[in-house]
Amino acid sequence: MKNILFLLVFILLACGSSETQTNPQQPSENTRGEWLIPSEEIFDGGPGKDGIPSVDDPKFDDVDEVNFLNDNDLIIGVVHNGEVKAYPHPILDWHEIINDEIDDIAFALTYCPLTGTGVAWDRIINGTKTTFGVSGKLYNTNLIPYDRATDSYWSQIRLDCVNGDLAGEEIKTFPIFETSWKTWKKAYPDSKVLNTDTGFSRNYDEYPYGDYQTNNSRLLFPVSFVDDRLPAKERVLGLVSGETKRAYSIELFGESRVIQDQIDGTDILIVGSKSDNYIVAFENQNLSNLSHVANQLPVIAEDDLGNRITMSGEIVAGPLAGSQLKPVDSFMGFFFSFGAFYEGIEIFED
Amino acid sequence: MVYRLLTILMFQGIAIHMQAQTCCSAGVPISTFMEIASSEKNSFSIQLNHEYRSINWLVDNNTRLENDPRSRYGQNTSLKFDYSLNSKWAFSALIPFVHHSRNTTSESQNSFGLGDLGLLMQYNVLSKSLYSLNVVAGIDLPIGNTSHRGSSQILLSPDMQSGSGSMDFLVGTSYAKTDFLLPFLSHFVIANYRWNGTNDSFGSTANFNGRSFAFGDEFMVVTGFRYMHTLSAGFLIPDAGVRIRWQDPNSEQGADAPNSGGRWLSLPFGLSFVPDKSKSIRLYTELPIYQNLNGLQITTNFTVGIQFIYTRNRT
Repeated sequence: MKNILFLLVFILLACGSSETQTNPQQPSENTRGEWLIPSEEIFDGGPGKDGIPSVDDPKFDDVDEVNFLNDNDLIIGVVHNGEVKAYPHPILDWHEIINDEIDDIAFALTYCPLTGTGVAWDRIINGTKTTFGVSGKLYNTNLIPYDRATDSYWSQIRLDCVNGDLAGEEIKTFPIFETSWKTWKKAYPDSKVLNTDTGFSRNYDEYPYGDYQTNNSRLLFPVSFVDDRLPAKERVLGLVSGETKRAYSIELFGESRVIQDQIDGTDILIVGSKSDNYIVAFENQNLSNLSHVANQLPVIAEDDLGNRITMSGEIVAGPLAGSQLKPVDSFMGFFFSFGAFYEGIEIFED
Repeated sequence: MVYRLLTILMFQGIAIHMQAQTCCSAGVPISTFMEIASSEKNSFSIQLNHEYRSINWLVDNNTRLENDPRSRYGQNTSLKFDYSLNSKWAFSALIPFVHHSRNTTSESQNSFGLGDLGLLMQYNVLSKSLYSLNVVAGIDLPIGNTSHRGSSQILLSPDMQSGSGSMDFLVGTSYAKTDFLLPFLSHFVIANYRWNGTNDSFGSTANFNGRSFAFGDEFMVVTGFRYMHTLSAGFLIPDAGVRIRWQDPNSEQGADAPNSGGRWLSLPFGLSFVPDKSKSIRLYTELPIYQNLNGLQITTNFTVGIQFIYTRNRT
């Protein structure tokens, strides 16, 4: 009996009461205050903060040196002051954030593989250049990056800070566009492409989420609102600036198409091609009777005055040559994610 | 007397994995031991077990990768009670306390609490002086804590919880033969299968229905040898074996979760000291030798543990 009592005392001392401990390296972790999004709908994805490592020292190859991509792999492209860089999804799937610079801009290319959304964020926070990391948390199954300057948490699709010292502030974004590797090679053969020398050994030949990209019935985490007007994983361009939110499905564009539309009183121009796998959106400044241009990438459209527009919105020929169309705040992603974040989002229809 | 003791000790310390997701760390159950209870009529035993599991190998399918910013470990302290009603039937109950730790370059998260209650019953099909065959069936009752929260008060992931929130079932069988090739050498084989239930309300609140999660079902076979060496002050019993484990992918929202499940091959070793029939102490370790996992996972690189058993026979 004495032995049994000893064992019971031992286990009680060893176990104590149920508890959870957090020992953050950032002192503000436990004092960050309220979330601006419902905290019960934020999920711990499993790997933990920075458990999915961002790439903070990206290295690049020339297009003709790249041998790890297939033609259908998607690329996120950034064009700024004549410098062109490509960030392949097969690397973004594993790292989700690339902290990089082009010329005078420092940006974090944030990509969420579960919502298929990629957005480039300004890395100047409160006047300080910083980097972004993967918090390991998800809201509406979407990435929540954190900035390493203030340890504030940001919602990728909402484009604002949802927790921490900067809660409520909006993030400044830079224009990007998404297309396939096949199209990218034709459009920007002299560009630089993020290579697999990321500092981490990962199998970049393998997509880490099985059939997730194409299985419309498969979500890994709940979303606050299920919008089933389009298939969940249908790729759309979501326009998220201003009051009106509108989605343009890749299925609208076929071989190629130019859509002249208006949003919040501003004329906009949507150019896309399902076969070349891209949709881009710009404010329409004095261009009329636009038509799609085939087989002359990166030129994708031309107006009746001969102004020729590239995928990044540069006008490279015509009376307005040398000017740049103003991009509309937009990014590609799976439809369900826009439906969850922007309940009732308009879907463009002919 | 020696053979009778050998029969009793034959399975001691050989994991039957009654414990499952309550002790999961990154999809790997901590092998809280649920060995076959003594077949002595009216015997009662109490067992205290403590196990430490290091989970620091990053494996992509069957390839080990470097530069993982994560590290994990799990500790499990459990109290187990066995009661043998007669020479055929025995019953066990297991109360685990589970500690999970997850560390990255940016934060350290820990959870500690009560795990799920394991209940097991055993039927002795065959028991002769040199052979023994048992079948077991068990259930895990979801009494463990599934509400551990981490930084910013966000609910930790299911594999960081000490409880599962689901009811799970296990069936298994074990066979052993003593005097296998050599006197006092025994050979054993244990196999079991467990169905892991689904927690359909993980993280639910008054305003939120929560999410659906289930750990993958699991099949395990372990086989090995034990040898009873007689000392002047009792018995020394080394054991060694091989364990093969298959686990289905976890389920998230009703669909297979990526980067979970797979196959593992490991080598368990142990050394027991038995001063007399009523007490024993065992040290053990388990080392992985091969994995073939679904996708990228962090997985166990070693396990160590210690076990105390006190047995009282009322007859």
